[in-house]
Formats: sequence, structure tokens, C-alpha cells
Amino acid sequence: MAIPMSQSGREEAMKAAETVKGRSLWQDARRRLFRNKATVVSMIVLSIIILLALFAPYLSIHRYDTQDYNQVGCYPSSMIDMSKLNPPEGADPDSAAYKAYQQYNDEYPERVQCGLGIIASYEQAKSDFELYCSAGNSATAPPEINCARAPQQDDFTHVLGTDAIGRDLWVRTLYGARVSLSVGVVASFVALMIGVMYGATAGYAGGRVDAFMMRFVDIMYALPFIFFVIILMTVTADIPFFKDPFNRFILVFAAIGAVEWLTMARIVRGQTLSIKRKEYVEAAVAAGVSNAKIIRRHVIPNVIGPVIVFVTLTIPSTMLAESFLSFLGLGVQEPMTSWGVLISDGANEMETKPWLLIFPALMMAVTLFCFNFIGDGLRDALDPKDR
Amino acid sequence: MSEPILQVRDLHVRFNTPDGIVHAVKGATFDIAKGEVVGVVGESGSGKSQMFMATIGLLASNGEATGSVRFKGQELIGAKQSDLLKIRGSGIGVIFQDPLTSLTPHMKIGQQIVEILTVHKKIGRQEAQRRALDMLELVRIPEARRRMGQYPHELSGGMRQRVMIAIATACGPDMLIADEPTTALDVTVQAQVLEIMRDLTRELGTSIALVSHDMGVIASMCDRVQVMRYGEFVEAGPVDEIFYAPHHDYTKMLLDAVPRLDQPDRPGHPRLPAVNLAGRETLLKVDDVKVHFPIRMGGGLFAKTKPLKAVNGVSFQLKKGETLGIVGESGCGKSTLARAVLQLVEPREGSVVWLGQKELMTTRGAEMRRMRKEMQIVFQDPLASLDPRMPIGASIAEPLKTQEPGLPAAEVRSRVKDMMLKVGLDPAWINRYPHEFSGGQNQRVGIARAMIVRPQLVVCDEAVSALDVSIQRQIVDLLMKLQAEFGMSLMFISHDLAVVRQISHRIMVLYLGRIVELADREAIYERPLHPYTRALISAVPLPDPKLERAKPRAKLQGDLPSPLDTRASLTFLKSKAINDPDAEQYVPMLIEAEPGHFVAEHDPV
Amino acid sequence: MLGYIIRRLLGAIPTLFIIIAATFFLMRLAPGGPFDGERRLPPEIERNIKAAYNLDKPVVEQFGLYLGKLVQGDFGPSFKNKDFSVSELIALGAPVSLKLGLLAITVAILVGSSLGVYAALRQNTASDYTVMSLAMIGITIPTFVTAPFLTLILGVYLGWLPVAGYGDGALANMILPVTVLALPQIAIIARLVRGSMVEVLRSNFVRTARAKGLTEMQVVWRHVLRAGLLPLVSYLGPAIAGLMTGSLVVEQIFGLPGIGRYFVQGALNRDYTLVMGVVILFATLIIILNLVADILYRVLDPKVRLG
Repeated sequence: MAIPMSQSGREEAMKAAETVKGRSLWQDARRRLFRNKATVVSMIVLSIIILLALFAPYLSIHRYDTQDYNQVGCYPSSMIDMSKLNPPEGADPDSAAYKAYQQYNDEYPERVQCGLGIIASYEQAKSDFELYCSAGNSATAPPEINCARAPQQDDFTHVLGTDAIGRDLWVRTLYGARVSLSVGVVASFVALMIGVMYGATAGYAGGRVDAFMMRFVDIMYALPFIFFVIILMTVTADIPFFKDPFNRFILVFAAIGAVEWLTMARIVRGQTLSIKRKEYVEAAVAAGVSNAKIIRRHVIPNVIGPVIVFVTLTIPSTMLAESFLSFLGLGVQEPMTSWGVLISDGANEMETKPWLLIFPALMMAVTLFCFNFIGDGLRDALDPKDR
Repeated sequence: MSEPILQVRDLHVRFNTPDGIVHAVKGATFDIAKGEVVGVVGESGSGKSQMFMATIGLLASNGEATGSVRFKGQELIGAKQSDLLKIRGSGIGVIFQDPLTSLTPHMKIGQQIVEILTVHKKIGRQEAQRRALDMLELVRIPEARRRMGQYPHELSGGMRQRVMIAIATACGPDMLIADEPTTALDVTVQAQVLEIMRDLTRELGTSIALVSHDMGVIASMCDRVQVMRYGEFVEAGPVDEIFYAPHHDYTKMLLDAVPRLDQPDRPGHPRLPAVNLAGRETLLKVDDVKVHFPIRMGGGLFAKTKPLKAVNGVSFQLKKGETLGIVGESGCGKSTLARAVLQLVEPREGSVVWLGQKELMTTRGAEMRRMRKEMQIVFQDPLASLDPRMPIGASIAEPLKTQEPGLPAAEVRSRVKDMMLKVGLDPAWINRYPHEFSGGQNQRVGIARAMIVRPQLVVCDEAVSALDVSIQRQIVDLLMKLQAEFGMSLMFISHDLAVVRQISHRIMVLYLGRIVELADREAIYERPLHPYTRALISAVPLPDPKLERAKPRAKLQGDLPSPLDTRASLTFLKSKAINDPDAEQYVPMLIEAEPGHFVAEHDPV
Repeated sequence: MLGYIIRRLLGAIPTLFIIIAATFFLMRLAPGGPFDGERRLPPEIERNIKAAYNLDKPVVEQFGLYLGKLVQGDFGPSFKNKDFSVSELIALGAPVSLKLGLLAITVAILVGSSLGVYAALRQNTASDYTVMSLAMIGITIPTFVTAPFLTLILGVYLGWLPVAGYGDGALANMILPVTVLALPQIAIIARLVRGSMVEVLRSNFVRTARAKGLTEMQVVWRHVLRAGLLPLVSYLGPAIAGLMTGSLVVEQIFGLPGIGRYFVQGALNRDYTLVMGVVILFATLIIILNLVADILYRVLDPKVRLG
């Protein structure tokens, strides 16, 4: 509405002009997002899972790669009988070392006092003691380790049981989460980078450049791409460089990212094209704004919404791809693990030890659910049609 | 008067939205008698369409209607679905606004008419086919038999709306609901469609409920008028009474806001200052500008391209401080012409000389960007022309920051606030976002953005077309006020002849990318020479019932021809046309019939 | 229409060539060969074997020879499955995979689109939410989880269905694999169809149809369905690619002797020619099916001209 104003009133208004704070589309979107219960719950659950994965080494007394042959295929929440901790391997039951070990076991709760937060030092204590035993220093007193609190029986519980070679499933599932989540995030990031650059270039350049670049994407789309990833993973299996677990890990990221960027490029290009045709971009051109500034000020802020949504939906699909590869035995290698590996192992023994399948699968499903709900929620929140 | 066809008593419509209950219609009460045409007029959001959707039970799923609606004595609110179905289509027919999206895209025209016949009449397919064909002929669709087998997208907008009318009237309903039936159409096509509606209903004695925002359409069609605002009737009465002796302030305001083709300078509004153009410097000299887009034709292995001559050799001059109005129907190239002048569209040819020295067509890159300080544009859709993620202050400041990069931030801010005041926006809103404002407010932002660098030329591309009349009036007044203050030249593009007449010193009529007539505003409206200009002017419905009734109608038959057909450019000079759609055709000359009055060559009428 | 098809088929040739070349060189340039894993052969014999498979020639020449054979429809001998040519292996596996794939896509389309239409017609009701939640589960839980779970429940605990094996294509043996393969596609299709149906139901022409006095059934059947199911047609290509990927796992888990299993085994033991054969076959299939989907789309939507 017009506000009629006299000259003096105008000056007053200019001086008084208390600036009214506007509500940006981002603020609107955030409000809508937090109104969506499924999304909020998903965000909470996902944060918990991420925290669990981050702090996995500190959350249990067990390690992801320790094989305990006394504890093979335990049921969930079965407990270690502390008196039956492993004797040093190949020890003669009559030897001094063995006896010392037994004695150590008996004295254990008093001697090793560990706080839950740094429970990994239990392993340290054990290996120190094994060293001490094998060195034959049975005469002197075993080393003493000072921690905050004596370990309780509960600390030794295998919450989710153990696998076929006595590794704790809870810890392994959390380590699997680390791998799967980081593959999801990093590979999506790879896809995002390639896709945004490629798509934005094609979309903004338009014309022949666009036609050529998109033709290439179309060709790539026609390929059964997962097959290429499989071939890539197999042919590199023998190259020494890729035998290093870390490098192999990177290869998995790159391979999956290379599949997912195509869709991202398409989405970004489509968005760029439609924004390029918007009148506010024409207005900027008419104002004499340079191309680089138009892209920075008008194109990117308006493309970001759909891209964020797509990234949230790409993460679960990259996680699926990784577990798919791992399931076929082409992903991360033992003793490192991922949800795909755990599920694959679990599926092999599901008739006798179903928990090995159920827990990792449940964990993965919940995570994927969360990502999808968050993605859907974001889309609804950012979609202007809803307004 | 006999028993009314439709009796509406205390009708309420409410919508349940995430932001709470919206009370769209608040207790509407009115009657429609047999054979009567009742107009419901109001601005957007007044609830006029929803009222009739509620009548036939077609509200959106979150809508709810209460009260009473009786159609021929039968209660419709809360009626059984099966009873409603019998009335829809056969008792009450509906014509919707947008003919393109209102017809099912994957069904042939014929099928869509046959369908309604077979649903309501107990007739066989053959008979229904025959009647559908009759209907198409009745709504004057040429080559009706061929059209039966065509899909909606193969027809022009005017044809599609005629198909809509054929569907709505196929079962001989007692009443028609026409919801903005001609809003999406060009004026000449609007005139034809209104004519068809008039004839059809007069013959059959059908009542019409005509929902429209256009006072001209209401004046030319209706017996009685209901004026609606915010879901309530503010005034109702016979058409002459509403137009000549309105009681309510809102009605008076509406009538005052409507631009009058026949009365350009009415009291109470800024008058267009008479300027002596001869003594003024020429700002812009446009010579033989052409914009041809290549269009891919047909499929096959080797598709060929044809040029779409959007602008095909246009020349004119614009003086400093002058407003040039550019009118024409959709597809005449008026927007493309403006963009070619502003160097915003490729590929273009010809010459655009700025202030007698600088050739813009060859100016590129940074130099052109600097030139843009002098020429700005205001767009049609106020919301789409503002970056949704930018506060309006930043949008207004953008040209200023770009053109004067050294300006301190405080200075930019104060200039933005100053300009906001000038266009009637509260400077306190500087940090608010476009979606928080109405269309009119956003258009003020668009004008502020264009004016902040004090350009010498502002192009208004349909700048008021998307706005309600009252807002339209304010924006036109604002533009005239700003021109008086800053003295810039305006190129004012619009399909609305009345608005153009109000604001322009000279007017140019475009037809398929060429000028057909160019003259000052009195000459062109009072002594139009070209048959197209005459048809255009006579097609505009005047918001004056008596004049409308008396008006002889110079009708233009048929629709706009395809601009890809080269014969189309000689529609008014058939004597020189070569009968081949691809042939190079004769170019009609622009003749100066009297000083300053140019008209394209045409066959005598 | 014919011109369009020809143009598309011509366009497919470079695509296929790129696929063949990429696969070929990727596999040849990597260290290790098909005969590395076996016990050390006398150099002479190894030379003979390599000569027999043309492995002693430069890679580019090998590629040329391979292409020459390929044009005549010869995929070459399998490196690992002695006495079998790749064509024979594919001929053995194809019927199994084809049967699995066709059943799965049929089930996916029928069930998926019915669920989608159902949910759209009951938009924002409990049944809509139920269907969509189930669809979400279908999308998020991967094939290799549903397969063992369903086997565990239906096969092991309840004993209703055989746990694994082809059983000469007996229906009982196919139920689990087909279900598992179709589930994610059912879910995706249901969501897709619901979304587009909801959009179409809101459109102006549906309002026109209602204003004609058609029953809801007639409105949906004549005016909504065709427009609402259009996006499904353009999804067919990706759906089939998804099924092919899924079949790799499903054939593995259920021990079905299909092409997917050959591929995984071939990739694991470097059976170059077999892998090449399967990739070429799948790529060709995907290209052709995409073309079919595009043509179908053009037939169904009169607005898209063949251009």
C-alpha cells in the first residue's frame, strides 16, 4: 500500500526508520522443517548414531578386531566370565607365567582400575601383562594401572553378542557405522563437487556447450554403472597401491562418487537453467551486473536448496552402494568392517546366529530411514509450492 | 420475474490452511433469474470464484461450505453426490479461466464433448458425435470436423476457450458459470468469445453467472452486478445503476481506477503533461531492428529450421522525456523489441543509436554494462523479478552498487531509503523479503530498483498487467509522477490499450513483429487508419453499459495466424501475398498519412 | 516416428562403443591375468595358451580382433569356463535372468502403481500414510537385507518356500527372488505414482471433468490415470537398470544360475571375455529399453512431438 506522506513527515520517517527485520526464505524453511515431527525425530536419532560412531573406541571395553575364542558366537548380552579371560597363547599350564597370569586374573579387579571413558586401556593392561609374563618376570609384582574405577562385570558384557570368531558385535557395528557413514558423506561430497561444477557450467553456458556436456551425461547414464564399479574394484584388487586399506577406502569413495555425480549434475543444470530464465537474473543483467557476480549472488543461493535436498538423499544411496560392494566382497577388507560386510557375514549364519544379521541390518535401516526422512522434510520445507 | 434459477442464501466458504481458517466467502445472498446475466466483480482474493465453486461442490478438499444454495428449488449444499453429479454439466455448465490447462491434454477435442453428452443424455455414440460436431460449429470453430480429432495443444487459446464453451453448453444447461472466461485471451479474441457466449445464451435462454475483474466485460455482458470485496457483497444492483450511480465507496473507487479508453485524462489523476516533442533531443533512434529465432521444424533424420520473426524490421525514435506506448496482442513481439533495444536478447540485427552518437548494437562487455546505468527495465511479474532470497533493500541497491562501486555503504543505504519513500514504500522495510509483500508493493520495489540509478530510459514490460485495477491505477500514477520528477523517457509495453492511452505521448501498434501504425495518442484512438488498429480499439469493452450496448462491432475474424507462416505478415495486404507459407513476401511500407501519423500499407477496407 | 527411431539407434552406436572400449581397456590394463591364479604352467604351454587367446598381441590389436569377432556376434571363448564360449554361457544364464527380471518388473509395475494410485486417491488419510511408510521401508532396506530376512522367516522358520536354488524355474523357487528383487522398485514406483497422481488430481482439467458431472471413478479412469502414470514410463529405464543391479545380489543369494552370477564370478576371477559379454548384453538391453520407454512416452503424451 502506498503511504502518503508530506515532506516533513518524510524526513521524520527517514530519521525514525527503525528497520523492520524481514523473514528470509531460509528462516521460513527452518520453521517448517522443525514443525515436521518425523524429520526432527530423524535428526535426533541420526545425531545419536553419529555420536556413537564417533566415540566408538571409548564406548566398550572390547576392540573391533580382538578375537576371543572363548567367546565365539555368544548371544546378545552374554557376559564374559572374568575368570576365564584368555591365557597367553600356547602357555604351559604349569609354567610360572601361566600361574602368574592366573594370579593376575584373580587380582585383576584390584590392580587394574579403569574408568569407562578410557576403557581401551584395559586392552593395554592386558597386553602389558602378557608382555610381562612372557618376559618371565614372574617373580616381580605385575604392573599396576591406575584408572578411575574398577571394571565391573557389566563392562564385559557383549551387548549384541559376538561373531563367529568371538569379536564383539556392538563394537563392530559401531565401527561399521564409521565406515558406512564416512563413505556416504565423502562420496556424496565427491558427487556434489563434480556435479555442481559440471551442472552449473553446462546450465549457465547453455547452447552447444550444454548440449554436448549433457549428451555425455546421457551416455554415462546408459551404462550399467555399478558394473563398472565392480570391474574397477576387481581389477585394482591386485595393484599393490590399492591393497593398502586406506587407499582402497579412497577408491571406494571415488568409485561411488563417480556414479552419483551424474544425477547431481542433471539436477544442478536443470535448476541453473530455470534460474537463468528468471526475471530477477534478467534484471541483474539489465543493471549491468557481471556474469560472475550474477552466479554468485543470484544463481548459487537459489540452487542451494534443491542441492541440499539431493545431497541428503544421495548419502543413503551411496551408503547402499558401499554396502552393496562390501556384500559382494569388493568393499573394505577385514578386519575393518562396514555395515555391508557385517550384513553379508550375518546372512551367511542367519540360521544359527540371527542376531549377527538383525542388528547391523536394523542399524543400517534406521540410519537410511533417518536420512530419507530428513531429505523429504527438507524438500517440503524448501519447496516454495508448499507456501 | 419468474422463480429464480439459483437462490443463494447466507453462503459461507471456509478453507482450513496451515496458517489457520481462511474465511473466503462471508454470507453471500443473491438470486439469478432465468435468462439473466449476473456479473460478480471484485479484485483478486475477494472470494468470487470460490463462491461459485462451492455452489456446485467443487471446492478444494480443505474447503467447506455452509448456508443454502438452491438450484431450481433443489438444495445443493450437503446434497447427495449422485444428485450433484446430475446437475453438474447438465443443469449448470462451467467455463473456466485458463483454457490451456482446463482441457484434458491427452483426450481429443471431440471425445471431450462427446463425453459430457453421453454422461447426461441417453444417446448413442454416433448421435453424440454428430451433436458434438454441431456444438463446435455453433461456437464458430472453423473446420470443425477436423478439429474433432485434434488435441487441445494443437489449438490456439481462443479456440480452446470456444471448446470449453461447447462443453459447458453441450447439454443445454439452465445456467452457466463463467469464471474469468476471457482473462487469458487477447482483446480481439475476447470480443469474439464474448459474442459467442452472448448469442448462445440469448438463443437458449441460459442464465449466466459471470465472474470477472474486468469492468468492461461486466458492462458489456451483464444485466445485474454484484460487487464483492473480502468475501462480502458491498453493493448489488442493475448494471446501469452500478455504473452510473454507485453508492458504495469501494464501487466508486473501482470504477475510478479502471482506465478508460475513451477518457484518457480524467479528473483526480495525474494528467499526462503535454510536451512539445519537436524541440526535444532524440534519446533513442531505432532503425530496422530484427530478432529472428531459429525454430526446429518436424522430426526425421534431417530436421530443418525456420526463422521465427519475433521482431521483423522495426524503426522508431524516442525523444527525451517522452513516453512511447507499445501495444499489440500476444506474440506480436513487443517484449522482444524492448529487449532488443536494451541489448538483452540474441540474435539481433539493425541499429540502435543512443543520443545520436553511440551505436548500442556493437557495444559489448564492460562498456555495455556501464551504459546500462542509463536504461532500466520493470518487469511484468513483480514477484518473479525479485530474487526471493534477497531482502528488497539489497535488490534495490544492486544496480547502484554495480554502477557506482565506490559509493560508501551508508550512502547506498540512504539513497535506497530515499527511493523507497519516493515509490511509496516504508523505508523501515529495507530488510524484508519479496514474499512478505503484495504484488503492488513488489512492483514498487521493481520500480525503485529501476529508478535508483536515475536512468534516462525506463522500459516497462507489461509492468501493470498482473495487478488488480486499483493497484494498477496507483502504479500508473506513480510512474507518471516519477517521470514528471526525473524526466526520463518511457517505453510502456502493454496489451491493455486503455492503460497505454493514459500514460503515453505516442503509441505504436505492433502486429507480428512489424509496426502497423504509429501516431500520437489522440490521433491513433480518434482516427485509426489501419484495419488492425480499428479492430483492436473496437474490441476493447468499455466500462460503460450504454456505450457498450450501442457500440457497433468491427470484428476481426479468426485467430492470429502462425508467425512461422510468411503469408501472415500480409494478412491486411492479401493482394500482394504469394500463396506459399515459405516464400519471401512483400514488405509493407510505413506511410506517413498525416504529419507524425504513420500507417502500414494495407488493402482498402 | 521411424526417423526418430533410426536417429536414436544411430546415436546408440557410439554409446555402445564407449562402453565396450572402456570395459576392455580397464580389464586389460590392470595387472594380473586370467591364468595367474592357477598352478605355474611351463612357459611354453603358457605361451601357447596366451597365443590361443591372442593375449600375446598388443592390447590395441587385441581390441581390434575382439571388435571384429563381436561384429559377427561372437563374444569369444570363456577364459575360465573351459569348453564354453561366452555365447553359450549367456545362452545358459539368460533364460533364468530374463524370467526373473520380467516377473520382477511386472510385479513392480502392477503392485507399485496400484499402491501409488490408491494412496493418491486417499491422500492424507491413514491408508495413504501406511502405504507411504511401507514404501519408505522398501526404499531404505537394501535387497541383500530383505533377501536373507524373508528367507529366514518364510523359508527357515515357517518352511513355506524353498530357501534357495532354481529348481528348474518352479514357481515356488521364484517367489522369493522375484519378491526381493521387485520390492525396492515397488516402493519407488508407488512413491512416484502417488506424487504425480496427486499433482494431476489438483490440475485444472480434472476440475473441468468434475464440472461435467462425471463420477469420481470416471474422472480418475478417463482423465487422471493416463496423465498420472506418464512419469512411470520415463522411470522404466532406471527401473530396469535397478533390477539388473539387484539381480547380481539376488542370483548370488538364492543360488540362481543367471547372468548376474556369471558376471560377479567372472569379475572376481578375471574372465575377461565373459565380463565383456555380460556388460555388452546389459548395456544393449538398457539402451533398447530406454528407447522403448521414450517411444511409449511419445505415444501416450500427444504433446511431445517426435522431434
